[in-house]
Amino acid sequence: MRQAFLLDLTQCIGCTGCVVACNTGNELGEDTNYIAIGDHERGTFPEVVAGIDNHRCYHCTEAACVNVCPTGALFQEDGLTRMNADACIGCQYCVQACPYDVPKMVNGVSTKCDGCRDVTRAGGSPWCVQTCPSDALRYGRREEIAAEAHRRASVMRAKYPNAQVYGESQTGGLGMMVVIPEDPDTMGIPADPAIPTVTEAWQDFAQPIGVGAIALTVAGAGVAAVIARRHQLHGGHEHGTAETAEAVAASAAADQDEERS
Amino acid sequence: MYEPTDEPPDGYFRLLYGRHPAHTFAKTQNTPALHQVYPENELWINADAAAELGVADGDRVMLENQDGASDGPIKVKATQRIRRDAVFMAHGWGHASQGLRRADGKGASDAKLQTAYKLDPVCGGAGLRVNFVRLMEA
Ligand code: SF4
Ligand code: SF4
Repeated sequence: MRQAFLLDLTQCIGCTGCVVACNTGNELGEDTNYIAIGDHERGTFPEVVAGIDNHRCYHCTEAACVNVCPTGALFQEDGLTRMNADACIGCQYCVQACPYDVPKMVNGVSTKCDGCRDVTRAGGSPWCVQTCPSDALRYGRREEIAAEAHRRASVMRAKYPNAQVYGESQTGGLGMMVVIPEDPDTMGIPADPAIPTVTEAWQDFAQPIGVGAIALTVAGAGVAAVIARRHQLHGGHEHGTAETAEAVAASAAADQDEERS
Repeated sequence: MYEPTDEPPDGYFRLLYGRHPAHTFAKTQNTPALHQVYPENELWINADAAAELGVADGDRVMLENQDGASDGPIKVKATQRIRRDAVFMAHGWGHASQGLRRADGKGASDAKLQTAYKLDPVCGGAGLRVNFVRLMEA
């Protein structure tokens, strides 16, 4: 079922409670966070308009990160984009492709909000939603979340004439319905986020080749493993392919590091 | 009953203080999950007033009060969200203890800059927002 978050920036007070709940609930460790709180202002005292920035994954439908991911580490489920860190090879394609600058590399693998997969699949609410003291966050079926977002925006228009819902159309519809008191650009959110064209080319053309190349590499590793095994059998040692595969993975990771530096 | 309080002397700002929502009193600055979201307090100062002093957003300054008590350095947050004659900081920083591995030496203490107070003549409540500070080079 298609799920979604509600993020109501007319209610968020910037308390950072969601950042802390996400960090501790998901055991992310110090200085790794999926949410960043900031603020913006314009005007001159005392005529100042200020607001909270609440930056996090928007769970795109046309998700650039999923499209470029060569291993399926990033995938879609329940209308959200998930992250299987075990499958991430650290290529950083998602970091380059995301129009919202969301995925971050930590210890060589990409990290981002995965919609609290374990908690929500067990019937619970995401950590951030559980903790928000101002009811700025909710989680549920996308139609219900969208209806609630529109209801809130129409109430808010009495106070903020430009109040609107962000997320109906961007990238094919977001899994994050954001209620904003002003135009997106004023809030520092792109009204029309550009999905890099390279990600489409990648999906249709380069990715199949990439998958082919990985298959070849795996096949090559298999051949190498057989050869290595023969050598070892001659030396009287028993070695499985698992260790050899690990060695291949390690050297691939070393290549990655070289490319990066 | 109302008696106006003193205005800040030339070159000084009224010192205001309050809370940061992630932190509780002076107790949580070293807590890992809370330290990472707000590691040090900032000095809110009117952006135009800061520009006149030649101080930019993100600079670090020392503070000295009307009685010569000083603390810092503290990071400047130049903003239009505060009036020109006052500065603001969150309470709880300015720890000096090597045991507080994260919080030691971060930010400034509003308490160290409060050497004056006024008593409410009716109920005896203490008013502490009667201290004035000036910005000094860090
Ligand atoms: S916001 Fe970025 S990381 Fe999140 S789903 Fe969209 S492309 Fe992927
Ligand atoms: S917990 Fe709620 S109010 Fe606090 S920063 Fe997060 S969204 Fe905003």
